[in-house]
Amino acid sequence: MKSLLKKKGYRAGLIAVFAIAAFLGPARGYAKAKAAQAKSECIACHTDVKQLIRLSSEIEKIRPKLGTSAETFGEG
Amino acid sequence: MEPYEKIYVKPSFLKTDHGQIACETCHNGDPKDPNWQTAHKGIVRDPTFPDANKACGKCHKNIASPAKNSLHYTLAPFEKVIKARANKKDKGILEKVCQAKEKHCNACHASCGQCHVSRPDYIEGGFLAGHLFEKKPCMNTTCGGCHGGRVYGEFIGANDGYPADVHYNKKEMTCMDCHTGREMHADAMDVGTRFDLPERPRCKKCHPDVVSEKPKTNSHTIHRDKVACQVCHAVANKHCFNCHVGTDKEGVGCSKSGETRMLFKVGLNPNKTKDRPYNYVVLRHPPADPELFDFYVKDGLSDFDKLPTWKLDTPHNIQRITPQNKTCNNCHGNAVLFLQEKDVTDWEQKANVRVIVPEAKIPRPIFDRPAIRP
Repeated sequence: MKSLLKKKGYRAGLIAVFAIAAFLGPARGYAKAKAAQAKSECIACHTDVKQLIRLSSEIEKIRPKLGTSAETFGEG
Repeated sequence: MEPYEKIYVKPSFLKTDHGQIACETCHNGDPKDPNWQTAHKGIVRDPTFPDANKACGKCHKNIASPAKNSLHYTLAPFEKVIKARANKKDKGILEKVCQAKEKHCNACHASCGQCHVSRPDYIEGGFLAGHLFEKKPCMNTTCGGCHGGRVYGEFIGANDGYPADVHYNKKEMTCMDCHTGREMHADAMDVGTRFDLPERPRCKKCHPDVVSEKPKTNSHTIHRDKVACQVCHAVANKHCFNCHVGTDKEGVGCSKSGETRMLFKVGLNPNKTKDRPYNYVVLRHPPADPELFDFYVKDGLSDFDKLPTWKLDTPHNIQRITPQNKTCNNCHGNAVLFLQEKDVTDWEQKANVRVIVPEAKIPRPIFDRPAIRP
């Protein structure tokens, strides 16, 4: 009886360890991604409307014009 | 769209699955550099083009692999049509035609990103919704952005005096209700035109009775397999008659097209198949012109009359009742509806010989039968 309880205890312990690892694994990955995002200058700038408004006017001046030529006419 | 809106990333995007992927994984650039100019060195604006697999294939292989050969990616029928008409005797000329085609015609392609993340390049891009991925993008921005000149305008009733498509008007259907993801992502390298794509929309999917052995209405019983659905149920579509491409003084590509006209012309079906056995189909004149590439090379399209310039069309302005189906004789004996020799310019006669309806093939008027319900 005692050994049976011992076996069951081991099994429960193992299940608990796996469950915690399964829960914490992705959470740690998510936290890692979050931490990387927090340090990313790309995200800091591209989520900041004020900054984008200021920079986009600068960019417009130097960016090659992708738009349609003024000589284009008629329906496409 | 304001310039900043085009590149603003919504914070909610960062909580999505795609938002968990570091920016530089798809776009390159240096995420640690606070100077935007140097940080953007080597940046990839659209990581989904030309190789859909590179950014999307890791997780969406089943979609990205065929999609890179889809009509929107490759515009393969353009190449087939232009090569069929090109001057193949002179390799130098052919090369210049191919370069011009690449610069002008191929600029209209769309990628995974240009449908699901941003607006198409054709309308100068910009995120659809702060970099959120849209499984079904908004049709007026995405589909209408490129197809607004003709087919989208027909669908929503933008042409003065012509009603919107009944599927849009009465059933509030969107482009994607007929043009499914399966069609959009289908490999199309082996198809001649979009009308040959096995995944294309079919009226019978929602209207099986019409093409059944015993349709409910007389008109469907009589005309089944003889005329395309659009011959009775579409109204006038937009026709263009010429286009010339070139480069302006600033080196930017430009195009000049002439007048457009709303017409309804029925022609002979030049390519009968099991799926399209009809004798009559609706035609449209696209902006085809033998001098299309003259800015780059003279005589580039010397085989212009190898293909009809009046082409099979499926107008997107379907109505139950149309001017031509109100009574039998609105169509029968109504020669104006049919493309005749006199409607075709001299230089296009040879190209269109298979679609022009000779007088003998214009359906005779019906005098001994009352008007039947369409």
